[in-house]
Amino acid sequence: MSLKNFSSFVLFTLVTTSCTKGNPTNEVLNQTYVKAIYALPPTLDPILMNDTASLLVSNLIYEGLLRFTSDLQFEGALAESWSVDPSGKRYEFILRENIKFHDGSKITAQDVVRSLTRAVSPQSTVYKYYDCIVGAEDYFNKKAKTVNGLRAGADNKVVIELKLPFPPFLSVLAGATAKVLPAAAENPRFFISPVGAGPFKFVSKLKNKNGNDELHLEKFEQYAGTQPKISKLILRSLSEADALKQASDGSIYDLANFPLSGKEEVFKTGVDMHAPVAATWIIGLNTRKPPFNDVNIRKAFRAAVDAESFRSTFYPDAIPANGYIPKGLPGYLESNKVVDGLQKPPAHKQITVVFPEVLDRQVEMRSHLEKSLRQKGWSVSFVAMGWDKLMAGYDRKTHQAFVVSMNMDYPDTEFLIRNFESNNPDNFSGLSDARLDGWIREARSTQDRLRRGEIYKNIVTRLNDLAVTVNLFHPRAHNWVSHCVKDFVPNILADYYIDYRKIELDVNCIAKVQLL
Amino acid sequence: MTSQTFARHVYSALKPYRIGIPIAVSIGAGLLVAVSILFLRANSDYHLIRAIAPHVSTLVETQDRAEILRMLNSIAKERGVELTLVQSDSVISSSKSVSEMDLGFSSPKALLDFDRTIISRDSIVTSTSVARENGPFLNSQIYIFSPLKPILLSCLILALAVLALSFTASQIYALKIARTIKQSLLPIEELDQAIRELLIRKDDTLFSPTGILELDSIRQSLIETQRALSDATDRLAQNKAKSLVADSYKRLIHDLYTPIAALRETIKDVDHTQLDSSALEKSASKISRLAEQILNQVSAGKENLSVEPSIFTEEDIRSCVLEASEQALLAFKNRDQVSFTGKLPDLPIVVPHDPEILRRAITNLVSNALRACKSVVEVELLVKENSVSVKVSDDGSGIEQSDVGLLLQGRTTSPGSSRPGFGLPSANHIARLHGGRIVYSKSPLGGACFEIRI
Repeated sequence: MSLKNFSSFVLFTLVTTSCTKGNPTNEVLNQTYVKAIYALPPTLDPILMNDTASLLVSNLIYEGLLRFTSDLQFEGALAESWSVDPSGKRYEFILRENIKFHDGSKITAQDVVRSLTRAVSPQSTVYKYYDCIVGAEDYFNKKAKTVNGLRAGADNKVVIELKLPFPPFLSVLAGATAKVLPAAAENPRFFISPVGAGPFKFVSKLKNKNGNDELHLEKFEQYAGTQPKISKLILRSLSEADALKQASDGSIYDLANFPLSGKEEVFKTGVDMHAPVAATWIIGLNTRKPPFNDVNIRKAFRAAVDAESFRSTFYPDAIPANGYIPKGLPGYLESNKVVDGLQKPPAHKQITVVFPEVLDRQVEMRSHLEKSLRQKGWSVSFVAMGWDKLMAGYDRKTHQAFVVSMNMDYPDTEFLIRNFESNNPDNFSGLSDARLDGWIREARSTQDRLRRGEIYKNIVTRLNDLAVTVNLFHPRAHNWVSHCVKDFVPNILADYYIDYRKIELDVNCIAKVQLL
Repeated sequence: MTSQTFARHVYSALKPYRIGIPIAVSIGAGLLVAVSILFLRANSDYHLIRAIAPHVSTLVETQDRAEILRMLNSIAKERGVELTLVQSDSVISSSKSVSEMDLGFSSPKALLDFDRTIISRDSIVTSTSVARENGPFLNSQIYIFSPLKPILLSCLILALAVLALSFTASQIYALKIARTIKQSLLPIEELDQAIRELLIRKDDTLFSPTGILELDSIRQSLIETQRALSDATDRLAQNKAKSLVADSYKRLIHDLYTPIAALRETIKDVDHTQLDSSALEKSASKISRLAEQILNQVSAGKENLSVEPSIFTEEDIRSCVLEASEQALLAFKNRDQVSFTGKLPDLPIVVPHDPEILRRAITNLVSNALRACKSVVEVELLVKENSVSVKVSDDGSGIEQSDVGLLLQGRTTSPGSSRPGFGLPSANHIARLHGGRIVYSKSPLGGACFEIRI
């Protein structure tokens, strides 16, 4: 699970022209793809990534053993081939010949083992995805110096052993956190100018003339996989409002990183590459913080939130959320049979719900929710908060409640559900429910698809009973893309899985836009 | 109206079929293949989606869109089709575009509707319900879209190939028919040629059997007809010859009437008139001369009457003229300074005549010309509208027009000769026997020109 959105870096928005407009030659400009992102990545270390901006950059500059295709199939990245033994617990990967990092050094099986070992190290925030590896737990808890389930064999072979059969593990390896880094990654300064093996290599991080933070990437000529068609990629951090303006004037080529409704003015000048996306907008309720330690209050609060009004006002084509799991995933509920018993708000203290400040219509949104709840007697404030602060509070579990979009990192319900496992350090709700824990464990070890689906439905129903989230809606992604962009294919999992290697710029189209 | 060969006529008559049949065959083949492919494709698509329906049902039940998408894309890529999975009129998954997902599904407009399969503007759309045994009702359908364009393109290519092949085959067939007809007509052509030869040579031995019943029947009829005609002609010629002989006697008697009358009157003058001795001597001389003329005329007549035509035959008269000229030239071969020119038409000139006596008449005229000429003799055969002329000209001193009648009747001697000449009277007699006559004129060469006109 990653939290999409909502950086607080809404600075210097008055000037909308980009630093690349005008100065560089047409040739350079035509080969340079500028993409707006809602925030600079808080980290460039894959084992610390928990937000879509970071995961996007990870997929661009790093490479793992596998990659997702646009239809969520697996394809070999650094791995030329792989096999699973009949027990389903032992994976063997054979690396490609002559695969190299951006600095030209050869990638070895030891690099793979060392990088995956980092993912289960005590400092890893993504450990939860890898805890099925034999010996991961001991290493994470510093009880072991190596991970027994990770071995580098001869002939570029990597062996990974799991504690139990867990097919979604391949999704983990194709994901944005399972990236292979050189030995230098042990040095914390490595991530100031990281070296990966992805299709684009990191060039610099800078502020442009207008004060916008930018990450500059360029095509890696020795990349092992499909060569990118664009030679340079600039990721420009912008507020949603500035991103919309710069997209309108032709300085930005896509706004896939922003939660647009499709109704924005900018769509008159570009293409709406819309698609469902595996995400749920929620108001997360922290059971550690009163009054949400009381399930009845949580239920009453949920009942008071007019989610349908919010959805139809701001994201009318989003799907109403009957549960935590978005449509298209096992556990999705067609209808909500939960009856929230309390009709009137109980006595409670002031409730503060933090809200992403970066959203263009955040003032309206906050007001809409706040007004509705106050009219029903709830003493509640929706407070705008910058993305970094919001994420910090999320990690420390200090927010009473927060509005976020919960995105799927991998195409499997397991990775959304486990957030509610009592022993998961990433359990934002602080929930501890034995029945839920039992079902999560049972689902993880269940091979039968139908049975697993039933368990997930039980889990989601149980989550509804426990009311740890107010499920607002399942959004539909409206990826604004310039007319000059070709072969942009939306991804139904998350925007950071969009394959930028295949995207191409229409040089003639760009020239016309520049003339205008 | 322009005539054409029977083979060409048949080939032309087959033209609508040569063009129409290939077009009809190609259209028929194209349609047949199109219908077959559409049927087979729709059937194959139906069985495919029926086969995957239970598994899809499981995936729909578990809402595993990622797995559904993988499967649909895999099938789409492998079969070159598109698949869309619909539940409650909303697209769950589609290989066409992820943008269709979670939006309403509208079935394509059907141009043709065959229950589970429809033909839309650009696809064959086959659908089935998504269900599995003992599974729940999902209100879900899977649609498979097979593109119509490649199928129609294949059919078009096939139709064009069939058109080319059938057109070529029909052309070959028509040519073969024409050639067969042409070959079949050879016996008829041979028969035709034989008939033409028969008209010229009168030789029915040229008729060889064709081996074709109808043609041989015609052949036999022609031979019999020809023989009957020949007999009839012979009889006609004999009758005509008799008639001509009788005419000759009549003409001889008539020609004798004048000199005899003259003789009688001269004798009367001697009997009844007191004549002086000189007058008597003159009358006696006249009587002697008239008697001489009568004698000559009778001799010539006797000579001529001995010439009787045997049977007229329809033969090429050119050979008669040629042989007569050669015969005369042979007789006068000592006159090597003479330039002889013979002009004959290229084509045969078939005229009923008695070659034997006509050759004698021409020989006489050519001999006279060779005798009378200074250095040039010309013989020319001319075909006129209703007659044939043999003109013999020389560059000699010619004959007085007043003497021509006496010469033709044989009552006087030939120019330059003291003995009576039978050549011209004989030629004249022969010309009359052929129903013709001899015409005298001054020759453009300067001398005499005698023309046998029959």
